[in-house]
Amino acid sequence: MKESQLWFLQLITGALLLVLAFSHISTFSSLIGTGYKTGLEYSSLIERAKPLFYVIFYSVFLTVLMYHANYGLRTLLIEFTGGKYKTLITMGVFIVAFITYLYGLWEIIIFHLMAGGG
Amino acid sequence: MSTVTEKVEVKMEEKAVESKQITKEIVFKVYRFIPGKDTEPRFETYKVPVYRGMTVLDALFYIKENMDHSLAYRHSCRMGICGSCGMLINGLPRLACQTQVLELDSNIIEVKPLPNYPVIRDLATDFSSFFNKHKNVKPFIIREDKEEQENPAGEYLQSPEELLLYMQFSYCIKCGLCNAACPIMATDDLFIGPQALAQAYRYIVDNRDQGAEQRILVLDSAHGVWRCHFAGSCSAVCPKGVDPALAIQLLKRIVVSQSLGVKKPKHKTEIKPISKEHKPNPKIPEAPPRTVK
Amino acid sequence: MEEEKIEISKNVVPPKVIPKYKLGLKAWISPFKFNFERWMYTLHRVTGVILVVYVYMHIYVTSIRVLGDGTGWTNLMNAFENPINYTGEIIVIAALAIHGANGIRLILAELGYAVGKPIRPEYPYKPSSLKGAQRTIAIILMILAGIMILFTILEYVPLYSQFFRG
Repeated sequence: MKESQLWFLQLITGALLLVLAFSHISTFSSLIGTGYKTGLEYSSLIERAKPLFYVIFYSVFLTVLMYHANYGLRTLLIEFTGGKYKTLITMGVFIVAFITYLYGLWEIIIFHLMAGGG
Repeated sequence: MSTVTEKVEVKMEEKAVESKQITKEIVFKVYRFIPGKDTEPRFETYKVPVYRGMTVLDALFYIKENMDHSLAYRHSCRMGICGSCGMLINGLPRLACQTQVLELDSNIIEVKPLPNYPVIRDLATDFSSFFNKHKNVKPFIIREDKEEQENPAGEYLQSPEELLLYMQFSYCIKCGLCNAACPIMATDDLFIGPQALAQAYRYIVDNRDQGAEQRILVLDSAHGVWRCHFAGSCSAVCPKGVDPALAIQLLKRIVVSQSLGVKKPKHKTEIKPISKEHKPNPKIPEAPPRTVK
Repeated sequence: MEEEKIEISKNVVPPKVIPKYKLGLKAWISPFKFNFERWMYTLHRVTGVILVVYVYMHIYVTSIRVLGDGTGWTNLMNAFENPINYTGEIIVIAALAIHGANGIRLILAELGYAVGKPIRPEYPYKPSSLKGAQRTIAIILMILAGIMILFTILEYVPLYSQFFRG
C-alpha cells in the first residue's frame, strides 16, 4: 500500500475514534453513563457484555484503534531513527500490533461468552 | 557653487557620524569550530560596540576585522536576497544581514551555525544535501515533448491568475532557514524538507509543466510529503514570505487525491504544446543567438 | 539535458570530526520561541505517546476480567482507588481531548482546507497559512478540549474527597 493511502486511513480512523472513544469513556461518566464506582463494578461489566452489540462495538473499536495507534507509533519510530530502519520498524510494529490485536479480540469474545451471550 | 556642495557634503558626513553613534556595547557569544585545531566546538565572547541600524552581519564584520581574523562565515549581498548568511541567532534561524542587533533586545547575543546541517567551520555549514534534495524533485519545467523542452519554437501564454497560483513559492532564495527550523529535519536525515517540497509544488501547479507524475513518485514516499505534520515553523522563519507550509498542505491534497483516484477539479489549465506551424509574433524582436552549448 | 553531477563541496574538504549538528529530540519537545502551530505539534506528539503507552497497557491490564472469576477485577478496582491513579486517569483523558481536538484541525489543514491561498508576498511577509482559518479553528477546538478536561476534573473531585475523608 502506498504511503498516501496509509496516511489517509489514519485520518479516517482518527475521525471514527473520536466517536468510538468518547462513547467508551462515557460508560463510566456520571453525566452520561452510570458513574465511576457503579460503572466499573464487575456486575455492570458482565451486564454490558451480554448483548451482541458489545462484540460488534468493541471489535470495530479495537481494529480502528490498533491501526491509528500503530501508524502513529511507526511514524514516531521512523522519524526518530532518521529513516534508516524503515522496513524493520514497519515489520516489528506490525507483529507487536497484530499479537495485541488478536489478544484483544480474544478477550472481547471470551468475556461475551462468559456473560452468557449467544 | 563649490561651497554649496561642500556644505552638503559636510552635512551628510555629520549625519552619517550621528547615525552611527555608538549606543552601547553588546556581548556576542559566537560558536567556533576549526577542524584540525579543535576537537569540540566552543564559544568565544566578543564585546562589540553597537550603533543604531547595525545588523548581526555588521557585527561579524567588526569582529573579523578588529578582533579575531580567524572567524569564518558566509555572506554576499548583505541585503537579504542571496540567502548565504543564515545563522541561529538567539535561538531562531535568521538571516544575519536582516537581523538588527538592537531589535533583538538582549545584552548577550548568541550566534550559532544553522542546525540540521553539517558544520564545515565556525558558522559555515554544508549545503550539499540541501541542494541534492532540491535536485531530486526536478525543479524545472518538464514537457512531454523533449524537443519542445530543449528548443522551444515560441512562447507559452500564462494569465496573471495562473501565475499567482505559484508565484509566491518562486521567491525562494534557498537560504535553508526552513530546513533548520523544521522539527522533522532535526531527527530524520532522509526527509526531503520544506524547501524542496515547496519547490515541487511550485512546478506541479505551474501550468506550463507536464511532469507532475514524475515528481509525485518522489513525494509519495515514506520520507516525502507525509513526514510533514504542519508544525508551520518553516513558514514562521522564512525571510521572503514563501510560506512553504502552505505549499506542502496544498501538495498533500494533490498527492492524496491522485493516489486515491479521486477526480479532483483541474487545478490548472493545460498549455498545449507549441504547434509546428507556430508563427512567432512579428511585434516581438527575435531572440539573440544562444550562448550556451 | 545531460545529467550533471552537482559537486558543490568539491573544494571543501569536510572535517574529519563533524560536531553534532542535528537538534534531535529537543526540536520535538521544545517549541519555545516558535509559532502557535509548533506548540500544537509538540502537544500532539506528547499526547500521542501518552495514549499509545496507555492503550497497550490498558488492553493487557483489563484482560484480568476474563482470567478466572470476578474477584481479580474487583481487587484491581479496589487497588486503583487512590489519588495517584485518579490523577493518571485525568491525564489520559486530557491527552485524549487535546489529541482529538488537534486531530480535527489537522484533518482539515493537511487536506489543504482552511490554510489560505497563495498570495503575492509583501513586507512584512506574514505567512497566510499561519493566520488563516486553521488558527482560529485550533483555538476554538482547544477551548472545547479545555471544557471537556474541566468536566472530567469536576467528576473526579468527589472521588478525591472521598479518599481523603473516608
